[in-house]
Amino acid sequence: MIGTWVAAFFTLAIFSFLYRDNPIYRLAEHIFIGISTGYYIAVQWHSVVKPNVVDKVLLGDYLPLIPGVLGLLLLLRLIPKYQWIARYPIAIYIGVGAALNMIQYTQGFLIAQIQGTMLSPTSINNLLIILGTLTSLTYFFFALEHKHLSKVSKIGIGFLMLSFGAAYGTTVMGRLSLLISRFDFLLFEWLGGMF
Amino acid sequence: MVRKVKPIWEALGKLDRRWVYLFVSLSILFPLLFPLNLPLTVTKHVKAVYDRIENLPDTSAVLIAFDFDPSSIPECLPMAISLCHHVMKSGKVLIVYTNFPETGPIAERVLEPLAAKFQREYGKHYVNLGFKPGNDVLLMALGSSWTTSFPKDFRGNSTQEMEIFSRFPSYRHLSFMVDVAHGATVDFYITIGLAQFGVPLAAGVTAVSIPQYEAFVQTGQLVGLLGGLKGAAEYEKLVGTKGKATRGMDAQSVAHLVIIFFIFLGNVSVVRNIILKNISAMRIKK
Repeated sequence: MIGTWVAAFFTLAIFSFLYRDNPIYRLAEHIFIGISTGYYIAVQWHSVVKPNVVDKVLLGDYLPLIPGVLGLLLLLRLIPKYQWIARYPIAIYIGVGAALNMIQYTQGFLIAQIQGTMLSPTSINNLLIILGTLTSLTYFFFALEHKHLSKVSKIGIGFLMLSFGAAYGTTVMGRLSLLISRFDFLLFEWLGGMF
Repeated sequence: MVRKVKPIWEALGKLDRRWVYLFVSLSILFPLLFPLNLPLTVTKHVKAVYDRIENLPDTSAVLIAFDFDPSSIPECLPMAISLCHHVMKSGKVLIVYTNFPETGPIAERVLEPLAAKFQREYGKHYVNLGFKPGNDVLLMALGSSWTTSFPKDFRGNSTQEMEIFSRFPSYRHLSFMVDVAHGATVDFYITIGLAQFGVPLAAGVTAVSIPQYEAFVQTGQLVGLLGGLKGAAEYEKLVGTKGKATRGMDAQSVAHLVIIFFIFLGNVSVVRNIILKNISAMRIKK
């Protein structure tokens, strides 16, 4: 019951910004930032650091100390004199990440997506996919001056605009879903619980 | 004193955005209070996910990854509930885990009532493994064994003794998986889970991510796609439940109409101003 009231108060406090900036909105914003930071520190400690490093080291498994120490070295970025040391864990992270992703993304994304555009031009959908892919790629071809490719790349811009429009439309849809959820909460859980 | 009234198109061009907020709010409020029961059509991408689960043999295991955090609950949770409902109702084995530390308890709240409803036994018919860090690296390890990466489940039970993992010892033994995600976790299920381990995959994503993952449905890498609140509502319709997603669809449709109306008005106002500007420029030239 108290939780529902607290959630309702903070929802309305955040909504109040839609009218204009005000102290209640700022209070809610600051409390949210403070609580989230504290919560995430606790969650990361109990879910990541403690079970994967501390508990294992206490049981005699010292291997997790290596990633643990590398993680701590990242914090040296905060000390200007020693921030160069933080480059080593970052280099390892980037190196391993790049090596893993190179094969995976080539196999799962690049080749599969190229295969997906090798279609028989026998339907309007297939034609649109082929045309859209080729013209959009032409727009991103920078080795030649675009005056030679201007008409083709302009068609590509048209396809890109359509994709931006679709992205905007689905973003509106997503944000409205969040708003609907808050209204649903206020109407049925908060007010509905009162009457 | 007579107050000068602005012409309507000029006034629209300078409309205080708070009026837009008010109308959008009302367009959500009224359909929630007085449902319109607008028709909801199930799209082929959502039906494909439903059919795949429905047609699996009863001896199959399905993984549903709860890869979202509280900020995406409005869109992702209804999908996750409907998918778990379907898997449990159809008698398949359900494995759940998450790449987000705060989502383990959310999964538990979804699974407990469904297990009671369909009389599913924990550790035999379903399990909640909770959270483990690692993302793609974790997934690679799961290709060898569930129990090595998750020696304990979310409840603290030892996974070694669970019947579920003697029948399905690794990720490779899954028949199907659905990633309910608010971010890019779908990427590594495509690159590792599907490309390396060959486990068929579908995704339930937030509306923002729909255009990004539609391409993977077209290539056949994703069996199907549940997109946003609408995808969740469609799946609720298929499994025969009326949850929060179905309740929100009327509001979503009406709010979209209001936004389209305001975009139309804004554009008409802008075009009108451009035309008037050009006309006055031509007059000055003359």
